[in-house]
Formats: sequence, structure tokens, C-alpha cells
Amino acid sequence: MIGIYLIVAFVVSTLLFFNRNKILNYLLVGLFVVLQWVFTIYEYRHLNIEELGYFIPDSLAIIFLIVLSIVCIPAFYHSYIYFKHHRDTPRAQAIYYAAMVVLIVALSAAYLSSHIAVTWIFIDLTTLSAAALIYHRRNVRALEGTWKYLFVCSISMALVFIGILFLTLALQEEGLKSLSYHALIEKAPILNTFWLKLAFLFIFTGYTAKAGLIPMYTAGIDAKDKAPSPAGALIGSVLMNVGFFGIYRFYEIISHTSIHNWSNKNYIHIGHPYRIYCNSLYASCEECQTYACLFRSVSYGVGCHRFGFWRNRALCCYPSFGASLAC
Amino acid sequence: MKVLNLIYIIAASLFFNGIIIRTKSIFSGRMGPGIFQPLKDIWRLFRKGAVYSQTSSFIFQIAPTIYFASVLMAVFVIPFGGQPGLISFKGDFVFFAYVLALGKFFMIISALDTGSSFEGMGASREALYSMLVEPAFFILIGSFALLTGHTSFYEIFSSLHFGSYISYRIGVLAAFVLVIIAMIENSRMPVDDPKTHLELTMIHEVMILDNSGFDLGLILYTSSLKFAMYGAIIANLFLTPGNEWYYSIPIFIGIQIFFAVLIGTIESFMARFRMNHNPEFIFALTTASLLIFLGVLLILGKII
Amino acid sequence: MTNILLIAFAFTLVYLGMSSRLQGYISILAFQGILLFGVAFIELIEINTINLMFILLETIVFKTIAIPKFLNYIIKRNHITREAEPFLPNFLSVVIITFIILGSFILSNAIHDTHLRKIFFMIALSALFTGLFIIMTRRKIITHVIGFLVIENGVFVLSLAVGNEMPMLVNAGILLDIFVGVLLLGIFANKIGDVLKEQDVEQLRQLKD
Repeated sequence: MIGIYLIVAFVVSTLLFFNRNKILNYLLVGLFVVLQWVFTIYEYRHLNIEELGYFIPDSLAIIFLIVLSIVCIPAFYHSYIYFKHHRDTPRAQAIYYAAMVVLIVALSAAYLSSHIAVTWIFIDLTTLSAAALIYHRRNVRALEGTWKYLFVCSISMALVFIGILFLTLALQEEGLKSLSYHALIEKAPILNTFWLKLAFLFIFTGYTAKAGLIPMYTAGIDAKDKAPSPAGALIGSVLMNVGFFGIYRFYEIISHTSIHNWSNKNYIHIGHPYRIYCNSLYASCEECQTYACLFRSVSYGVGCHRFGFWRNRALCCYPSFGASLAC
Repeated sequence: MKVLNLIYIIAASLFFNGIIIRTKSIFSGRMGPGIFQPLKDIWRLFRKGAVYSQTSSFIFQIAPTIYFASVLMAVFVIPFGGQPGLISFKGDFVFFAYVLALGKFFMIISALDTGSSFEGMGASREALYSMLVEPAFFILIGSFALLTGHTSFYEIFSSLHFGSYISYRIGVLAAFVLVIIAMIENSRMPVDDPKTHLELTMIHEVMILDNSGFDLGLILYTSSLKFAMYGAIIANLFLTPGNEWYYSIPIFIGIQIFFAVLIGTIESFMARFRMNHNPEFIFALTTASLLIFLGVLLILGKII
Repeated sequence: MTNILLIAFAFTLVYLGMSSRLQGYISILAFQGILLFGVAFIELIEINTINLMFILLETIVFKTIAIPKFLNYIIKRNHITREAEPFLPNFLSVVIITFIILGSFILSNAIHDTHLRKIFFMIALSALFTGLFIIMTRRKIITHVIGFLVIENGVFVLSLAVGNEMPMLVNAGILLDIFVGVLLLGIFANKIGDVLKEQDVEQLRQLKD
């Protein structure tokens, strides 16, 4: 199913890119939403069955996938409202829809993948499609936002890749080769903790660009603001989820090792002060109401991290989505 | 037999400057003076008397002699292939570096002694560059000492190539660094231009503005002796001990000529750096020798 | 032989701190591509031929020829001045890069791991930090891109250390390279030239937070 999904979604996005007809555009987007939901339900019915060697829909992935599918409906709906008010060129609209479809597909695939490098590749893909969305308005400020987003995210993705390489070094030491989450969780207790710590630091730092946490949080701030609001809402909600998702996947591996406590400490010490910082900063600034809304999405996320409930993180993207749209 | 080393190096020093000048003139499309012309100039200067300023003290008068003597002393410790130098003891590369530094120190204070503002400026630059180039030399020779486990020039060079091919590759890298060290020590092109006569941009040349006659000749000759000395060190990196004289002498001559031609080529095709870019260039040299040092550490597996 | 190539690679990093012109930066990138080609060829000779061809092609065509050409094209098209305009004097840059290299050497010595080839780790770390340093201390947007490309080269070196057993990861790294390289440079540098007159990060300071 995932193979069909990827191919059809790719075809839809290509057609959207070249299509200038409005009715065809409605049809294609409708087709994609239906496809997304069929796919979600199908994966829900086939829990924990491996597909194509690199994808396993486990319960974590399914929750995030359902959230994504729910969010994508209002996102598309509001996009139409947005374009009713803003008379953009058909070309810009075509790029917008195509990029949005690619973004959602990349997110779904990143959720479902069972291999750490495949997750990384798809999250990298989200950077590119999100950049196209942010640059939609094509003015100086949008350009600036896009540049910052693209640049910081690229560096962060390189950091994540380095983290994955460190993990590989740890695996090689034990003569292992598989990088799937399943195998990693199984073998985690015997891995060298030094490499695991390094890998954790790099992967955590890298994915914070997506999740909007402290070291690399600067990536997303301008991006959410400068994108058209439906796209901004997507970026502020589900795209931040995927960053958290990447961290969580690795955290799951760590939690089976002796450095679990160490990583917990870092996790909280990095996340918690930041929440206080951004809330106090932006609550005090009248003009920053937009930012305040966006930052709330960050702080909800961090709050949930603290209690370690990923379900909350998945669900809290509704308020942040709503908040972003409202701005 | 040990005296032969000295004779080889002095013989090389006689031709060295001539070859450089010849190379440069060929590259600029001229015939140029004969190879012995610099030597004839020096000889002409030797026959003249020196003029001393009334404000300068005895330091100004003895400095050129000490400079020459220091370089000659440094030449004594340099081995030749399988033969040790005239003097050879443990740690003689430290002696080598500081005997050279002593000569340079005297040149610097004699430049200050004249009381000329230009010479003071040149002296300060010379001091800065020597200070920057010193760690490069020490780290380089130090890494060879680490590689071979010996601390004198003779032992280092004679046991260098019993390892693997890697020592030749490191030898090439080291030769590269040594060529640049020699260029800086002699104030040649990328750092200083010996042809320039604008005082503000000169380093070495401005220090000897007040020297004349015999002293000037001595300083000029010392400069080519210094070149030949560095050439001999570079040649030593590739002279394999145990080889007969009919191998080592052609290698020695070849490397000296190649070195001179290389310097001529560099001087013909490169412009002098801006003065404020010099320190970083020289510091990068230190970094290069540091990298060689780290490479040696990695190869030996001698990890801290 | 790999050792010598990697030491030369480290030296190019120092030269990066020294060079004051954009042209110098670009030729360093091209030279790094050649060095990486050599290292990849020696290290990965045992993996299957098609994969090896792909990797070598990437290093020689993409890293050595395409990116430098493209950077040159961008500089010409956008009339970027040829000076790199660092915030710090070059001498300090060279000193700091030297300390970065020393620091990563000491760090890699602290690791007790028989499997790891320490020189790869050391060079990769120093390239990573040098890239970040270049990004932090240079004013032009194009030098930021160059710093990023240096980081990419460092990542490539690190991926070569594991590449013998998992060539897939090398390919993934190359994917990142091409993806981001093409996007960052291709579309973007052109657009920035159209919208902004001066190629300076100062222009990208309007959004404050």
C-alpha cells in the first residue's frame, strides 16, 4: 500500500505542479485527501506489518499519521479560502499545492519508516517542500524567512546525519549492521554508551530545528510567520511533530540503555527553561501576539515532553494549529 | 672526512644565488648575469673598507661577523647522508635553531643601534616573523625526532628511512615546509621582496641599509650560505644512509639546484604578500608542521 | 596514503582561514573534492562497482567541477565583490582553526575504540567545526554557503569511515549533498541576487527575533 501511496501522491503532486486549471486542481486535491485517508485507515488495519522492507506502521506512527490526516483537511480547506482573498498567479498556486502535497507525503512516510536513515531522508524532504511553501509570497521578508529556515535546517540535518553515523560506529563495534528501530532497540543495551551519548546529542540538536526546541529553534520562527497562514499552521503543528517524532524514536532506543537517566536530565534541562523563557518574553511584548501564538505551540510541546507523553504531543498540535490559523 | 660536509655546503652556497638570479632572468626573458656574478659582487665588497656612523656603537661593527659565524656554526651540525657533521651531539637541532637565532638577534640589535627609524621598523618585523617561524621548525624536527626516537640531526636522518614508505611521504611534506621556512628566514619573495627599494615594505633589506663594504659583503654571503644550509637539510631527507658517495653527491647537487630553481620560479611568478597578511601565512606554516606532527603521532599509534 | 590525503585535507581547512578572496575559497572547495575522490577511491574499492562509480562520480563531478563552477557563476551574475569580508582578522581565523584541529585531535584521542579510524574522526570533526566557524565569522551569504559545503565535506569523510560496511549511508549523505547543494545554491542564490542588491547577511536582519 505504501508503494502505491507514494507513487500516486507523486503523480498527483506532479500534475498539480503543471496544472493551471481550477477545477482539475480541486479534483486532484480532493483525490489526494481521499488517498491520504484511505491510506491512514489501511495502515491502521494492518498494524505492525512490514512493507517494502523499510516501513512498519506501529502504534506510535499510526497516532501521528491520524493526526496528520485530520490536520491536512482544514489545511487544504483554508488554503482555498486564502487564495480566494489573495489573487496569486496560477503558477504560484500550483507550486503551493504541489509543495503541500509533497510535505504531507514526506511526513507520512517519515512517520511510518522503520529505519533511522529512511526517516532522516524523508524529514530532509520536508525541509525542501516547506521551503517552497514559505517562499510563496516572494518578497524580501519571505525570502529572508526561507533562507533562514533552509540554512538552519540543512545544517541541523547534517548534524542528525553525523549522529546516525556515530550510531553506526557503535553498531560496527558489535559487528551489527541493521539500522532499523526494531533491531536498534533490541541491541541497545550492548552498544557502547560513549557513541550513544554522542549520537544522542547530535540527533537531538539536529531535530530541534524541526521541533522548535532550544539550540536550533531559530529555524522555524520566521518560517511560520512568513508562510501563508494555512501553510504556517502546518509548519507550526505537524512539521514540529515530526521533529519531536525523530527525537522520540531515538529516545526510545536510549531508554533501553544505561544512559537513560543521563538523557532524561538533558532533555528536561534543555526544554524546561526554554518554555519559561519564551512565554515570559513574548507575553510581555504587545506587538508579538502572533509570535506568542506560535510560541505557545512550542511550549505546549515542551510541556508534554516533560511528562513524557507522546500522545499529548501528538494531540497538542490541534491547539497550535488553531492558534496559527487564527493569527 | 667530516670536513667534506662543510665543503659541500660551502660549494653549494657559491652557486646558489647565481642560480636563483639566472632562473629569474630566464623567466623574464633576459640572458641575465653569469652564475658567478653575485660572488664577484661579494668579492668587490670584501675589498672595500667599511664606513661606520658616529652614533653607532661597537655592536654595529661586530654584528655582521657574529651573524656569519652563527650560520657557519649551524652548518657544522648538519650531517651528510651517512656521515655526521663536524659537531654532533644529542639535541643538536636545538643548538642549530638557537645559534641561528643568536646571529639574528645581533642583526636586530645592530639595526636598532643605528638609530634609523626605518631600520627599527625592519628589525621589529624581522623579530616578529622569526618568532612566528620558530615553532614551525621545532614542531617539524620534533615530529621527526618522535618518528625515529633520536634527538640529533645525524641520528634522525640516518634512521629515518628504515620504516615504511610513509616516511618518504612525510619527507615530501616536510621538504615543502622547510622550503617555505628557508624563504622566510632569508626574507625572500612571498614574505619579503629582496629587490624592492621602498623602505616601508622592506624587512631584511631595510635592516642592512647602513652596512657597507666588507660587512655588507659578509651579510650577502651569509644569506646564500643560509640557503645552501637549508638545501642541505632538505637533501638529507632524501639521502639514504648506506648509499655510496656516487649516489649521494649527485642527489645532493640535484636537490640544491632544484631548490634554487624552485625559489627562482616562485619569485618570478608570485607577488609579495601584503604586509598584514604575512603573519597568518607564517602561522599557517606552524599549523602545517603541527599537522605533520599529528600525522606522525597517528602513524606511530603513540596516543596521549 | 589515506593519511596523507586527509592531512592535506586538514591543511586546506587552515588555508580556508587564510584566504581573503572568494576565488580562494572556491578553489579550496574544488581541491577538497579531489582529495575526497582519492580517499573514497582507496577506502571503498571493495564495495560493488556501480555504487563505487556513483560515489566517485559524485565527488569528482559534483564536488570538484559542478559546485565551484556554479559558485563562480553566481558570483559573476550577482556582482558579488571578491573579498570575503570576515568579521575577524585572518590571523585570528588561522589560529582558531589550528586550535579546532588540535582540539578535535585531543578529543579523538580520548576515545577508546579499536574499530574507529581516528584520523577520519578527527578530520571530520575539524571540518564540521571549521565550517561552523566560517559561517559565524563571515559576512557574505555566499561564504555561509561555502561554510555549509565544508561541513558537508566533513560529513562525507565521516561517512567514508563507515562506508565499507554500509555503503547505503554514504549514498544517503550524498543525497543530502545534492539535495541541499542544488536547492541552496541553484534556486536560492539566484533569487537572492534578484531581490537584494547587496549580498550581505546584514540585509537579512529585518526579521528581528
